[in-house]
Amino acid sequence: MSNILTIEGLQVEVAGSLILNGVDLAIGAGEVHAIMGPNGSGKSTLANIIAGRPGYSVKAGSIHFKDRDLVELDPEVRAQLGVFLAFQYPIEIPGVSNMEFLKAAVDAHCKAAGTEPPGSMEFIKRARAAAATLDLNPDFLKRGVNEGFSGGEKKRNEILQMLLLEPILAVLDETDSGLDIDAMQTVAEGINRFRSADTAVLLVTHYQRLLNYVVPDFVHVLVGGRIVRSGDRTLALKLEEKGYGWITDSAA
Amino acid sequence: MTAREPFVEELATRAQTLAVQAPALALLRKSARLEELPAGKLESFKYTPIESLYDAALADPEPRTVGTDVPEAPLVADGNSFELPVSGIGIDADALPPGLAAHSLAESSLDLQLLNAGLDVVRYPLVHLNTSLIQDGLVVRIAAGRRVASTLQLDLASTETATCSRVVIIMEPGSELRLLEQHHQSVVANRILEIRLGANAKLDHTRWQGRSACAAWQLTSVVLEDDARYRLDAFTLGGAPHRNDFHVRLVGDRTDFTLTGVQLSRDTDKLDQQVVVEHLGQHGSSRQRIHGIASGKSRLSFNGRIHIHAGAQHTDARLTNRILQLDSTAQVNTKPELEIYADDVQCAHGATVGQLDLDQLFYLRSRGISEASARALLVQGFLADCLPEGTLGEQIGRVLEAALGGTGA
Repeated sequence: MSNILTIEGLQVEVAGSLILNGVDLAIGAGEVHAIMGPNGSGKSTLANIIAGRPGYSVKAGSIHFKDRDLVELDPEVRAQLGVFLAFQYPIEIPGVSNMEFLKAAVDAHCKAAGTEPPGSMEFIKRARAAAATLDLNPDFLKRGVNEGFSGGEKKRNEILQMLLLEPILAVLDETDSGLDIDAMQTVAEGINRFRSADTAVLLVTHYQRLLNYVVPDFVHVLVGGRIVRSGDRTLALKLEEKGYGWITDSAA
Repeated sequence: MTAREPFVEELATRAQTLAVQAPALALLRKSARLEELPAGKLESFKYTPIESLYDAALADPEPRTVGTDVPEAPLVADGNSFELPVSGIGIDADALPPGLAAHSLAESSLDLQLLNAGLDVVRYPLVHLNTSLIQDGLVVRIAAGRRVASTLQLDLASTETATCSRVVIIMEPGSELRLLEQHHQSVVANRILEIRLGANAKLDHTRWQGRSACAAWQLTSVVLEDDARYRLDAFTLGGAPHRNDFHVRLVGDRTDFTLTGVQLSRDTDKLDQQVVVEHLGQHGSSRQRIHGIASGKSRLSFNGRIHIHAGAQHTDARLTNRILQLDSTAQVNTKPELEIYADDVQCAHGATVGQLDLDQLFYLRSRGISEASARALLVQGFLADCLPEGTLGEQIGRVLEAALGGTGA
């Protein structure tokens, strides 16, 4: 099976400090991988470097999306290739309506793919249908991007974007944080709907709660900028039971 | 640069020629006190040296344009509208909407001396320049209790003969009007618009000033009596030194003033706008929101002063000025000022200057939107709050977008 994401020996620096210190990770088509770890272990850095966030620089190693080296590509090009990052803290953009934003994003993807962008009416229908599956009120599409949204609405808006943009690789950065149980189930359903033989998911999470709803094929534990242990979903349950101290102590 | 003295001499010579062209206005021109024209370094002309305006006034009145990148097509009002010539000449009195009368300034029964009495010539001494060279003007009067159903359009596409003009709009108690004022000027201009809102009168005023290669000084002076309501939407593109003064005096009680504005400067444009709002009556409310965008090597200046006089109790005054500096080469000056002499008032003001937000930019790009489109979307979002509703707002949005197209936004 060919890999969708291949990371080798990755070292990443943020504001002068080395946050990732030799990460190796391979995600195949159809797979869901979870990255877990204590605060400050580098989980969000891993998510952001894949999407190409400014301020994060690769010091060594490589990131490949299928056969493409991502490191030198602009964030928009990565997105157009099929990489999607659900933000831990989605950004508010007052004055730009959610609908306008979603249409601009979908149009940009179509343009890059050389396909005809959907007409306005058709797109509105599509966006409303997707919003309904996430229990989002259609009015929410008229509001400014994430402007005044609750924590849960912001996270659901990320999933809405994922469903409309139809990426190949979805990197979800703590999408479960700040969600109550009902919202978590709705979001999990959205992620599960996205799963297919052709797509891949990288779930970054602090707690294993979400993994009860989105069952991962692999679980990796990131500590001090390195993956110190990998296993199946039982690893997440063990972490839940014993805490990160169990790993950090044995890793030391 | 031209100092005051030689400038005043030159003005006197020009005024003699004008005496022949428009004799009826000679009395008004004579009343100009040229010795009160400002000279030297002045705090209020820190960013637009007064001499640069004198230079411009003396320059050959050759029409100049700034290229065709900004659509020159005039804005079209929502609903019905009618146009009046700023010269006041050739108005067909029978064709005017009911309740509205209009005359040329030269023919008006209005006492010429009363004209300057309505303006604060101490604060705005450039009024004397306007007075000394005034060539024509328009007086509009809305009868008490009348609501003019269609929009009054004033199109100040200036010609050589109208560089110094004046428009006076007198709204009698309880009258209502919508005004669309447009400047697409290609010669140096010095213009004054004076508006008097009687008790309970209501005016919705949209002001558009296109980009111009010629210097301009313009004053909009408004007085509100009891319960009057004035809404001003002002859109100004820069150009050769452009200085706009807005003077709004809330004289009566329970007055209501709202200013929403956009100011843009690009390339080597210089735009300097100053707003003075004076609260004199009680229970007055003023709301000002002005968003500016500066790019290239332009200079964008804003000064907003709220003056709450003693006795103006229960005033509620707010002012926000936000400026987006798209290039580090653009110079931005903003200064909100408060002067308060009443003790029971609510007042808030704030000014910010910033660049495009990098997190917002990354968020858009992470969704596949190109950097150029992402910047354009953010700029559009920055202005969204300042556009009026309806098709007029849409037209303005489109023209502003086109104007920003060349800024790398």
